[in-house]
Amino acid sequence: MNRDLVTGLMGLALAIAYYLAASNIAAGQLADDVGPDGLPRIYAWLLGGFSLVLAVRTLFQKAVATSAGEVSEVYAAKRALGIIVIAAVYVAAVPFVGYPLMIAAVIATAALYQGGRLSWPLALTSVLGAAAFWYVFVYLLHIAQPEGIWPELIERMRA
Amino acid sequence: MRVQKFFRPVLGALFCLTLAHVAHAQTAPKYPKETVLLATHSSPGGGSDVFLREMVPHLTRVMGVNFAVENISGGSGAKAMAVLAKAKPDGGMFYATTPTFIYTSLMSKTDATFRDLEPLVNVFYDPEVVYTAADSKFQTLKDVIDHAKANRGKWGAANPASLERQVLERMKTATGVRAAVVTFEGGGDMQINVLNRTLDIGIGELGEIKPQLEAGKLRVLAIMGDNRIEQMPDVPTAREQGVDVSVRKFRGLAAPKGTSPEVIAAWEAGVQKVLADPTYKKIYTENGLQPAFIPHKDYGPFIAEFARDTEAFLKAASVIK
Amino acid sequence: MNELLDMFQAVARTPMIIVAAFAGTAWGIVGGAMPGVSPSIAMALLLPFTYGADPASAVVLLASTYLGAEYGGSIPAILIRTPGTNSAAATVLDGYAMKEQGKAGEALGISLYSTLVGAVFGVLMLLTLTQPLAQVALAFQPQSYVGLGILGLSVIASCSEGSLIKGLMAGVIGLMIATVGTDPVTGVNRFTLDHPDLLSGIPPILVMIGVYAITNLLEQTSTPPWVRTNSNEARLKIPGPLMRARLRLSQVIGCIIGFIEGLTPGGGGAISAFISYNEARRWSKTPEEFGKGAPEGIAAPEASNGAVSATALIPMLGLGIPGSNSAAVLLGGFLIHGMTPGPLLFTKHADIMSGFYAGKVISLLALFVLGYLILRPCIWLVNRPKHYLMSFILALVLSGVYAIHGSLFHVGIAIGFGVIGYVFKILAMPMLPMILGVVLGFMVESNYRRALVLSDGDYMTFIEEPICAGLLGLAVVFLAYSIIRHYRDAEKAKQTGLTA
Repeated sequence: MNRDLVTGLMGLALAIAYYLAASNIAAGQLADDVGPDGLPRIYAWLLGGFSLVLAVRTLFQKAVATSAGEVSEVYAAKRALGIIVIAAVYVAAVPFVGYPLMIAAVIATAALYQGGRLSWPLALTSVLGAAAFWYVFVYLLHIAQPEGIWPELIERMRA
Repeated sequence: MRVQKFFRPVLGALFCLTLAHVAHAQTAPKYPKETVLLATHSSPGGGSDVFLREMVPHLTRVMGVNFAVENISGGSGAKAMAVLAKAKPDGGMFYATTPTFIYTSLMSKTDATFRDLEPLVNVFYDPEVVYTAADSKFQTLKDVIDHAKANRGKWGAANPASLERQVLERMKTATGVRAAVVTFEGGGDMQINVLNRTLDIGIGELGEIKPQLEAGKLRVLAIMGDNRIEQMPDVPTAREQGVDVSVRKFRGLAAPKGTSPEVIAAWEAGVQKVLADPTYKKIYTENGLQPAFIPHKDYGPFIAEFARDTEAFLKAASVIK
Repeated sequence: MNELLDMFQAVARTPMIIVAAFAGTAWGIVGGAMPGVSPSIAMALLLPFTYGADPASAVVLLASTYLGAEYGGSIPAILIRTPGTNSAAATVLDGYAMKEQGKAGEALGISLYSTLVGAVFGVLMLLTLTQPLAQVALAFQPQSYVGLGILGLSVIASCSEGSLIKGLMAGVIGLMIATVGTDPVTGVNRFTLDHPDLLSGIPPILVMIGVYAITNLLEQTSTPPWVRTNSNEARLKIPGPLMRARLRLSQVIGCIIGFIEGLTPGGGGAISAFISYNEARRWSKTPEEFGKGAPEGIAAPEASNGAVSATALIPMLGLGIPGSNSAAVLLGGFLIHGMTPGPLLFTKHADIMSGFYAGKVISLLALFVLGYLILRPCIWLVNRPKHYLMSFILALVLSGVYAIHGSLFHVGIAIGFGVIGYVFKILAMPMLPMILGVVLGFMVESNYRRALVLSDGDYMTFIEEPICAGLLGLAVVFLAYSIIRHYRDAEKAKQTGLTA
């Protein structure tokens, strides 16, 4: 499908969804004449208008052969999805597993995913890398990165 | 956590002091915790943050406990309230209360609200004052109201749904004038607009406008509290000037539910003592704070009443349903 | 002279500024040298670290990174024919040719020297021009800010590579993102999905880290590994007096063009580097040497890059309008520390700004020293296997975003914007308009409504207030100019396309 047509339709969908959300905003008596929903509605109209122009314009243009590019683009998007999954798993699991372990896992899996081979050097790099990250963020910068369930577990084992 | 590092060098010295103190105050029961975390939703340098950090050294001396301040920013207090509601009620963690935590609870669906916390004690009132540019024609609050009656007033509050906004809206209703109430993103932005005369008046905490006041660029027209304040005895309250609006911006502490009476008693004694401390008194007076100790048995009802008023105001203005 | 004294005092107060200038420059050189890591990405990766630092050091760190990266980008351009940054693309032509002739060290030396010349010129302009812009600060009323915001948004027209309509769409999407959070006038919650973490809105910095750093990471998953460099070839030679004399004209050209491009938002380094290259060839006595290893062919674009790295900050600091990706990220750095670039910046944060200027000056020295020293370690690092570099950058982003507000929700938002940025790339939507919308949206909306409350709904207030009227007029002129240029360029492209 034509890229601009897709862009236009996506923009139109976003504009409609945003407009509906904007009409749900309660104005209240503290509101000014424009109101909290005033500019959002205008934005939605603008985006809708631009999207429509973009989409309609494609209908009058000659179709451009892009098939060769699209196959590699699908491939690229699939590859990119892997990194998103790794990052999403990190966000979901780090409150339980804790920062040091998860960041080591991120380094290892991302390196493997990008074409590294499962090997001792890779494992060592992940562990040392995680240690370095912990040192910089938790020790030097005093960021309270998630500790995971471990402290509680240890406390329970003691009790 | 950053704070702990800051306190580490002081700990040694404090330890010695603590020993000496415990030896003296044998009658008072020992506090159950060695280190107490004081949480605030304000970021470093913000109102509550400064309140806690300046109180901590003196409180340490008085209560013989180590304190650390932790900034739990995010969601205008939503996050800090959630953390506190889940904390153990062992006297190890408290939360600095301001009207903000009530506004946030009322205006958004937070995981925990002020109702999930136990109001502990109040410490200060932070006086709200109405001010104008030093070169403006307004000399009293009455001038401002008269101007707004004849023309159209331009009044500024620092934040959209805040105690300050509420005060101005009440002032508008009480006097029946036409005034545009304009809100900003913080007190600094609003001050500029008072200074360049875009606005007739602004409202804010005394501590906030102190630099401009001392530079002689602003003039305080009215105190929006029940009484005149020590720092500027010549400035009348709004009520004295015929505008029946008064507000109490409180600064106190809240605890997790289920905190023991012993801990509460220790705080009641400690806060009263620290407020009387001469060195600390000098500091908080300079910052424009008024000592306003409210014991635990009265603080719960105080907060509840404040919340009721606020809710009524927000509902009347249909900000919330 | 007073400013100089202020700068000294600022450094004396916070000596960390010196460390920040050196560290930022070093990271910039290394980051810029990594193909695929543009100056804005190198800066975005640093953003979380600046949160804990004092404000002056934080912004110095970012600004020095910008400068360092402009030079760093020329290293792989010369050594492996791959520009590390977009703006180093023009350097490839003669830089790689010189390397082929066995003059890699000389080429690197010319690049460093010329970047430095450009940067010195740029910093001088920055020091003299920004404050006059900010002089009118106190007179700014809500209406004036609306005018300023509209002027900023009019930049969208000139930074929409390719398609104007897509740029406008991206800009509006940015404005929409800026509406999330508490309403500036009534205080009701908008588009927060009842999530407390969204009450204070979506911080622009998360959008920037997402669409620059994470999107880039996603793109890199399917690009081939980088070519390795032989570090033995790289022994940097600072040009001698004869060579310096020879380079003078091309450097002056680079400086002037870089200055103009830096001031007019939306141009960006890449364009000015190529224009400088072209102009240097046009003015050269030996234009035939260009492309075959002419030192001037390195000097002109690099001088321009150096100049842009400083002059692009003038509209950003003085007006709050970021004209390039890198300036936008630097603006994010100011926002983290509660400083809003714009007319009031110098009034409200005078001491921090003195520190910032001092840091800018120190970073010039840092570039000279580090450019010389850091070359080998830099090449070593860039030669590490790509999968390690990528996995460490991912770990850095995940750790760093959490460090900003201690919120995993924010990490999620940044990742989300990484995906959005990737979709933008696939759809060929330009990114900068969206960032402009995010950065300027709140200012425009809140002041627009404020002004109307003050004027009792009278729209004439925007024309009656002189500053606003002036800025709006400027916006119209700028808009007309960029639209004309847009269609002229499109016409030109069509014609060359037909003849080819």
